[in-house]
Amino acid sequence: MGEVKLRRQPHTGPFSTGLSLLPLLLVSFFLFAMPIVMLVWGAFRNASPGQAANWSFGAFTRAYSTAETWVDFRNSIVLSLSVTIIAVVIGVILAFLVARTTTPLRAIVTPMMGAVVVLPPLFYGISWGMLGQKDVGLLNTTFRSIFHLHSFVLFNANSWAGLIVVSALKGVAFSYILLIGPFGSMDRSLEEASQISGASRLTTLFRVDLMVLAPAIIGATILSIVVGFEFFDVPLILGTPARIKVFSTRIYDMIDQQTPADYGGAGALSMLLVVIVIILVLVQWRILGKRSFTTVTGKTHRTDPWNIGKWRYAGTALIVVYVLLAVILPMFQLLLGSLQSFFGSKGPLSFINYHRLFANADAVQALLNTLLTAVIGGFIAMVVAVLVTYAVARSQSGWRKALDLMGWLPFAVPGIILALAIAWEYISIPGLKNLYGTVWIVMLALVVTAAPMAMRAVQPAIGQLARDLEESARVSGASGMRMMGTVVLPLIAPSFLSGWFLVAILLSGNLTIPILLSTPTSQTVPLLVYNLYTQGQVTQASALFVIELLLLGIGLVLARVIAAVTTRVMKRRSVQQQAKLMAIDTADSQNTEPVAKTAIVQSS
Amino acid sequence: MKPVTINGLEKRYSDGTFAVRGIDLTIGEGEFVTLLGPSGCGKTTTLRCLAGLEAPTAGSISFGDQVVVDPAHNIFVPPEKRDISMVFQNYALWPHMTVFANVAYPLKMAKVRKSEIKERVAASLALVNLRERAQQPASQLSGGQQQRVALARAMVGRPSLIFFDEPLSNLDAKLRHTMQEQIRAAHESLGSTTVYVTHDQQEALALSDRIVVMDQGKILQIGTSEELYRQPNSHFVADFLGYQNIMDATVVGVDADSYTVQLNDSDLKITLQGKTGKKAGDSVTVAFRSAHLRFDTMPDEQFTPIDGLITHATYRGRDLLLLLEAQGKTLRATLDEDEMVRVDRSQLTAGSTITLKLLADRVVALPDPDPDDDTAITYESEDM
Repeated sequence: MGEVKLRRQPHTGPFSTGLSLLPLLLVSFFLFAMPIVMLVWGAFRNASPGQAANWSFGAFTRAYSTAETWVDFRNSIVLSLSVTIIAVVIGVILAFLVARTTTPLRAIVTPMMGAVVVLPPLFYGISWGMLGQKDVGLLNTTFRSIFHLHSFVLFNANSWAGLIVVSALKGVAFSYILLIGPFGSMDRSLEEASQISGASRLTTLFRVDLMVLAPAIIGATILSIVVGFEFFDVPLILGTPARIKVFSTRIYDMIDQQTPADYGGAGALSMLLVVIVIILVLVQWRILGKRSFTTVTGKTHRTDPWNIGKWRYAGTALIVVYVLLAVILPMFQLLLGSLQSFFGSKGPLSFINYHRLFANADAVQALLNTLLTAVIGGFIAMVVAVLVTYAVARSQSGWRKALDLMGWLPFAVPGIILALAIAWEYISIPGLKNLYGTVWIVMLALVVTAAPMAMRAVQPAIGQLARDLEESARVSGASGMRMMGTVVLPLIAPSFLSGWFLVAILLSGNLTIPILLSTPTSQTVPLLVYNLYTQGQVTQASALFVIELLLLGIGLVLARVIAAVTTRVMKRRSVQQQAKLMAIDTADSQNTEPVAKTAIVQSS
Repeated sequence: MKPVTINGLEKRYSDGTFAVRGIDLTIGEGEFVTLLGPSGCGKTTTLRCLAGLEAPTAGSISFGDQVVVDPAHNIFVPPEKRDISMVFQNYALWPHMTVFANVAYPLKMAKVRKSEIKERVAASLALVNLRERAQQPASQLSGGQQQRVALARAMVGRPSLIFFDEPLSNLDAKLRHTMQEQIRAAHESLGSTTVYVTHDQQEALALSDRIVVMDQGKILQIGTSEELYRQPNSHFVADFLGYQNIMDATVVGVDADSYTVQLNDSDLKITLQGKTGKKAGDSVTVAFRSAHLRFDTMPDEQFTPIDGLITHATYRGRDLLLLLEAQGKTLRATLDEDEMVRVDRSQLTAGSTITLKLLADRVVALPDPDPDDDTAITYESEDM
């Protein structure tokens, strides 16, 4: 601070000084940065984790001199770019239809996209693997029976086309969710000014709307490319039978599909992907700032939708086709598969698969593990996210930037690499080795993957928390901790709870972490589903997945209910408490309307 | 009820810019002092340093005989230990609490007994006429009501110091007036030492025992409302306190109890009442309010008659603003309703000439800027 060096900076709030930030910095470093450090360290050693080794470039020369590496690298680029093009084009069209036009059925798009984003990629891999199975897949058999064709294959999921189309289904939802905010909040007066200046509606669309929204579209494109490089579940399930490998599945193969596992080589390959992703993320942040990564909409602006005439039925058709492909068909196939005695069976449907699953100790254990890791892991992720986000928002220390960066780091590291990095960290550090192979390491790794998502969930609430609400608590005599407990936490509680459920739902569908870190006793539902599926027990895999989706659905409903109830209860409780204290009749307070969550933001 | 002593207060940001550069101020027990200045003048930073919400980089602050902050000696008392309260510009009521809970909060923090909390909150809410709103969520009240709750919350703990950070700037004019009265009444009933921050000179004049005018992180003038209103000490203070006519001039004649100056670049001569240390030929800056250019004067009042051509006349309801062209100078005059009715309105339009009387005892000669003060700030005079 200039000339005056204070030995101890006076603190005006929790986390305001470098020293008070230290515990959080250490925890964040251990969780988020340490695995990457260990991964890099491990890539320069010539032995597996936990074994004595010398420094060596062997892993790099070994991994990068293989021709196969570059084929897989090219495959990753092809997959990422083609999915991005499809996803962004359809995403833009759908966002435009919803935000600006009178297209019938537009109201269902946003909630549906939310569901598609939450559905695990494993769901798409497996359901489409079944739908597009070339002999008995529902899509092909139906098409054949309608047109009375024999052995005609309409769509083979285990192919390049399958890989791209299925990956794009989820990609569309991802880019739509990123775009709908900016599209919806675009200032209508810009359009009006253009039209008054003599431009037609279509000219306005291209010369004003798309130009104004260009940063958002570019941002969504870059993020979509990033996500494309991180694809794992779908290429693993659909690409492996077709002998198409991408970079992430190759990294996995080097550890799980070869003996001895080549940890060093996998680490060396990972670094290329991490560097590419970090560069892309930095470019995206430069273009848009980190804010747009969150999907918060701007000011709500009353706008007249545009009547696009007959085109709106084309819009509706697009929506219908998308819903069919992304939700209805895969759900139906999964449900159908779970009721068949064997995949493609034309025999009577039964619940035999479900009976078998509940008699199977592994399946029950996997369900318990999933529940445990998702719920507790989600909670820990949210607590860390709240502390980090709050500290970054309020600290005056220069270290807050380091904290911010560490928190977002897992976003730049593809899941399979994160799992690899965490394996390095926990095997190499002596005291932590005991965790390896337990369900706890899976949970810790899931916490790390969930951190950026969790931070995104609490960031709006913390960002909107007016600072003077905290300051007025301090001048009223509350210490920093007291202020956190009485003002900050109650105000962010609704976001915390809904974020917790969202994170738990996402974690419960995660395959990349357990596929590397689980042992048979610590496996989770997604891993067991994958194992059953690849072992040919397709119908059992379907049944297990249906149970998982059912749990997710219950979780989703619970999240809504709890978020609504907490807002209400908090309001009512404080009202009633005071009423008792005031000894004035309580009848009034029962009528008090619960104030909407948005009322939190009153100032600035 | 504690005096406040500020010594050499400085707040410098890490990029080297100053928010506050060397403030010395003593505030007496139970005094109502207002920090007045434009935005960015350092008044809010000074207040936040007093409250402990920000830490100064140099200087010290004491409440009574307790030093609350002194970076040189590594002393910093956190806000909750300073026995203070504060009313914020945006009310800062906690939206998840009722009105009652908001007001009760400082007492709960002070571990006051429940029965006493109940009484004191009720009494405090009664003072701002919001007793019947106690059970409502704070966020359901209107802006004016919210600020009254904030005032009740600030008073309920009977702190020895109360701070106000532009508390009325979000309220409409009418509400502002009633709130001013409530704030002054609260100050008097509690006897707390009060520090009030505002950019509104009318508010400052109406509320304060003393006013501290600040600009660019420094204090320009300290005085009572009347002292500041009648005798600003600089171009900036005069301008900020509503002197619409500020002009450079040269002394041309000195009498026993009055002297005459001639405005630069003009033949216009003005008589000022009082003594001056200056002699003929010295330069001087004179300032007067538009309202002191009168159509009529009281008998025995000394004045300078000024003939002018009206270039603009703007009717503003309570008065009429005239822009006068008088011997090469543009002057601003306002005629109040009483004066307006005494003049033929057709004479009060652009293009007509009029003779007005400038009250000699209301023209102020501004002291010369201190030539030793190298941080002295120069202002460009406005054309209009």
